[in-house]
Amino acid sequence: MEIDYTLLIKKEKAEFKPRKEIKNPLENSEKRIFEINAGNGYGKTFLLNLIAYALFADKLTEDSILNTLKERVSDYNNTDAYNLTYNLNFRLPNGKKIIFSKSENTDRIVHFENEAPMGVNNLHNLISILYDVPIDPNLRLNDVIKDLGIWNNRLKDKFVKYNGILDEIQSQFSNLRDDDKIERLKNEKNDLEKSSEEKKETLTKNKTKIFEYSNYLELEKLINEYQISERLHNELVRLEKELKKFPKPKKVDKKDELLIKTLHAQQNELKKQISQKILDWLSELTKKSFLLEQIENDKSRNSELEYIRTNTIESLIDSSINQHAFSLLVGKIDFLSLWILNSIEKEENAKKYLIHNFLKQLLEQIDELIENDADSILKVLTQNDTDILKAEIKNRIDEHQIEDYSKLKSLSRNCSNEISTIFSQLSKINTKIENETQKKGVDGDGEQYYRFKNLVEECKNKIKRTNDNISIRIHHLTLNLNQNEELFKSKQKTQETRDALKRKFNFSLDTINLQDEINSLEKQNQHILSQISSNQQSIALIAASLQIEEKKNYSSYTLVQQERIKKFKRAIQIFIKNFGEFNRLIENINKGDFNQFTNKEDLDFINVAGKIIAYTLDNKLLRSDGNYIDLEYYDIINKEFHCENNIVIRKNDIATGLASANYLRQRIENIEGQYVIILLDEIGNMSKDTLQEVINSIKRIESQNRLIVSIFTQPSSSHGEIVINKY
Amino acid sequence: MEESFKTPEKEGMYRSEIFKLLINSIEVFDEKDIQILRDLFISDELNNDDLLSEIIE
Repeated sequence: MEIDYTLLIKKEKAEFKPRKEIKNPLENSEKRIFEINAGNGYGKTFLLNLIAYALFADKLTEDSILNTLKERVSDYNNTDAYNLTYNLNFRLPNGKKIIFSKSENTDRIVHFENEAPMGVNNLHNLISILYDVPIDPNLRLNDVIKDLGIWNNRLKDKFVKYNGILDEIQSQFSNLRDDDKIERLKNEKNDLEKSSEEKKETLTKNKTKIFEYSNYLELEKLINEYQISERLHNELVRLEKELKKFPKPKKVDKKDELLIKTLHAQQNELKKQISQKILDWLSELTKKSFLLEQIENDKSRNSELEYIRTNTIESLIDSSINQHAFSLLVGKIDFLSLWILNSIEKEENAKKYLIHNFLKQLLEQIDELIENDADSILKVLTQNDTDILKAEIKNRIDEHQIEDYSKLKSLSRNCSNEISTIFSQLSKINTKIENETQKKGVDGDGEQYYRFKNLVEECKNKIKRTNDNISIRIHHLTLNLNQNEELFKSKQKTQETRDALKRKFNFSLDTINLQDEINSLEKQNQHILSQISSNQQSIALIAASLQIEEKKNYSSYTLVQQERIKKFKRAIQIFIKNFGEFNRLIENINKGDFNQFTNKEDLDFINVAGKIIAYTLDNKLLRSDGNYIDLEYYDIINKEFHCENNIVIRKNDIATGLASANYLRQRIENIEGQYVIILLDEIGNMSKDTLQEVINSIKRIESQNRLIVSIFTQPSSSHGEIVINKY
Repeated sequence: MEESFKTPEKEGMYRSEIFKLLINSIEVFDEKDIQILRDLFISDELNNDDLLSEIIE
């Protein structure tokens, strides 16, 4: 054996070389097992570190060397801190000399005498190194726990990788051709097409009915026009007779006469405007059966409504009205308008309106998202295509249809104000007429003359308008019914045509119900059209889905295989979750926080950790009588060794030295490799007998011709003295 | 059945013990499938194809 080295610790500016008291006994002995007793600072531990460094112990796995020792050895690679050169050689049991050397600024070299250098792997295949500090093995728990953490994370990483692989395969499943889905989509498409055809048939039938009913109504209206025409002709005759009773005023020249006539015409026009406003308001109210019924069921409100409906309207048209009568009318309209507005407000706050308004706003917001190309979020949230979602919302809106009160609200708010404004203009006209007639010396008869003259002209105009209407209706009917216009040329002929039509179409409805029926059919048709449109959208979407699905390839995995992949993936995910839990437990063990472990799963894991610790002790425990006992597991929480035959030994009851020897013996006896170097630092806590057990184990390696050298150190009992024992 | 661990011995033992612990926590697997899961635990040399063929064959 030869030991030479120079260690320069750069920052301390201190240089160390081997002491001859250690170097000489080792170099000059034929023995291979040495015990160095020396005080601190003699370089005994450095010698072990040096041999370990020369043998590349810093490249060993964590199974072979403690991390603390590995770090200690690899520290000499730090050239900022150290400058280390050495030359070591040992003779192998077969007589060959192996040389370890390092010069300044070069790498470590290993070679047999007169042979080329060898690599680290070859070195470790040939020579096993056991370098350990035989301290209380319980203190090794931290290392074991650290190992558990490393192993657990390796398992976790491995299974996360498996999960990723299966995930990728599983993601392909949804992109594979699904014949069941294709069949389902085709059926859905057929059903929708069939439904659309049926709806179109209903639509056609309804249109035919509407056409028939409309023509019938048109005939009724034509008859009515004939009746109006008759009445107007009678009225004209009466008015012309009345006019003849009053001579034309002579004092009034043409120009003044024209002015008075114009004023009368304006007066009539304003009266008609007032009448029309009230009629519009009443007409809109009549359409809202919900409100109308409530008014009619209330005595007071009904009486106001009846007043407005009958007396006042008639009086407005046919005679002049006074301020008092008008104020009474406005008061009644205001009274009912206020009640109507309050009732509408209550109705619009009801649940049905809330749902309807919400859905309408939702639809608007979806359209806004689509406009801004941001509707992908909807697909994420609803798992539906935007078009399908919109169609669904539209269907729900149809289900929650609400009454539109906007026109009635507007009329109720404005009616009385508007007619008051018109009435104010009317009052001014009345005053002007009065002034003009007095100024021009028109007497009472003269005034009546102008009044009737005006009425005669107005009546003639009405007759003209009615005749125009009759011509238009005849024209329409001739075209619609494809009949000769002679059939409609008089009231009687029209009545005969109507009756014939009624017989042909077999109507049982009267005129009013007929109009309701037309309205109802038109509404029904609108709904059918909307459904057909919705069906067409759905059919287009399904067709697109079908096209995509049919282009897909068949799965390369059978359904059974797909199920197996899913099943294994579920298991792998459970494992990954548990590895995460184990990391938490390992962390708690590391902290010594054993109170956390209460449930069975945690205790099972602790048991596994205890088994690993027992395994590191070779599942054997050396007792004070020098005999071994089989060790099953170490109870980390209660700090007890559980051994064969239910023997439980408390950790504190095992002497530290015994425990150390116990650990070292199992490590020495289990060491593999053709040649072995054993280095043990600080074995001071062992008794002589216990140490002898360790030496016996080393001797067994030597007897197998495998031991190159074994050095163990312990602090000197007497200060300054260096003793080297050889075995 | 004895396992031949490719991983270091102590780590192999950890995997074996953890496998025993976890196999009870998952849904019912038959003997063949349990063996596959054991392979997943123990072997570090399974590639993607091996993994798939183990599962689907």
